[in-house]
Amino acid sequence: MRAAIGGDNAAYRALLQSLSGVLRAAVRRGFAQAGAPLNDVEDVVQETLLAMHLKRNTWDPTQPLGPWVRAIARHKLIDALRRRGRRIQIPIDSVIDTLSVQEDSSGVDRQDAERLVNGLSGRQREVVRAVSLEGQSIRQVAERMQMKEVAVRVALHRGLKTLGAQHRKDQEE
Amino acid sequence: MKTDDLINAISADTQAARAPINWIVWGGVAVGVVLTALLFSMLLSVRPNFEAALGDWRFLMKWAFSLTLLTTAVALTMRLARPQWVSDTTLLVLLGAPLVLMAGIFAEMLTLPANYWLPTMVGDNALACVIYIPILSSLPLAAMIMALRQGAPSRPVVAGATAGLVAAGIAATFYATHCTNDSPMFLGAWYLLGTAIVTAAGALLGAKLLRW
Repeated sequence: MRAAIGGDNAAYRALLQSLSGVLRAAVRRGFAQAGAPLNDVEDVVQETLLAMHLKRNTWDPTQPLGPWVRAIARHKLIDALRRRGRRIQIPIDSVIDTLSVQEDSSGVDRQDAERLVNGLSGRQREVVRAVSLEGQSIRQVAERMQMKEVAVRVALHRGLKTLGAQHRKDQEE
Repeated sequence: MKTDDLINAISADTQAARAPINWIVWGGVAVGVVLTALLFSMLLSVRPNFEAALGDWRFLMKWAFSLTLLTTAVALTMRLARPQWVSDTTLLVLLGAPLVLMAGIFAEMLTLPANYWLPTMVGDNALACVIYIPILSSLPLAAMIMALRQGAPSRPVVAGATAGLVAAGIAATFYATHCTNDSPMFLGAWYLLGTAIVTAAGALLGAKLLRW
């Protein structure tokens, strides 16, 4: 995380990747304990990763990273369970979901969490898509979309912030 | 979007992180103090016998109360601005200011005949106190809430409330130099009421604005 804050993108990606695995397992346990179907697990993992990124100034670099990550994951998990509690569930569907998830949990790991990215619009969405799905560098995106690199960076950052704020809009609906 | 793709996007986002949250909270306190000083100088004035009052333990008690409130509330707000859970036991440090106040009231009871207690508590401008503490608190409260929005409080309502206590602590410190009612009994009734109003406002704002 220290390297990441210092601007080492590769180290940051490696950190996020290893954390996402741990988070996925932890969130799945949390959902299972609450008796909730597991199809929103990936949403919570993504929300946690985003919150970590956007709120990384709340980590004290003199302290271990683990408790801070756990605190954010816990916050997002509780949030998701609360949100879920407010939705009307169709029992049979959720039972089927749970069963299929338990049979093939690797499937759920690969599942797209579409809810998050749907919140983006226009240029932000294009930039986030290009950088994430197609793995293009900022410079490549800038050339292809005929934008300045700075503008691409800003659009990417705004896009991530919008993603981070997305679930709150869901709650208010 | 797959999580791996999201990770690509996040790790490509090289916008610098915000300043560490404790700097931001300190910034909120500093801005709050400056704004309150400005508002105070526009609305009110320091009492005429201010220098004489500095020698009176009752007057100093007002500052002891407001500054204890301020320091305990700032310390707690720092903790609450981070995602790590802050236990209810930790919140007990907020009892510091009421304890100072109770000691003062006790001392006052020993020195003042009982038939003076009620008029001393009621004072002569209680309404002004209950109105001005919230007015003077409004700007520092806004500054503190804005600072906390950069944080990640896992208890948004509590964080909003302690932001309110910080604001009330700043406001009371300034208002004490205007108000001529120095008795801890007056403080225990009206400053506390003003503080409670600001704290409730902070908790409401926290519930609305500090979720993330």
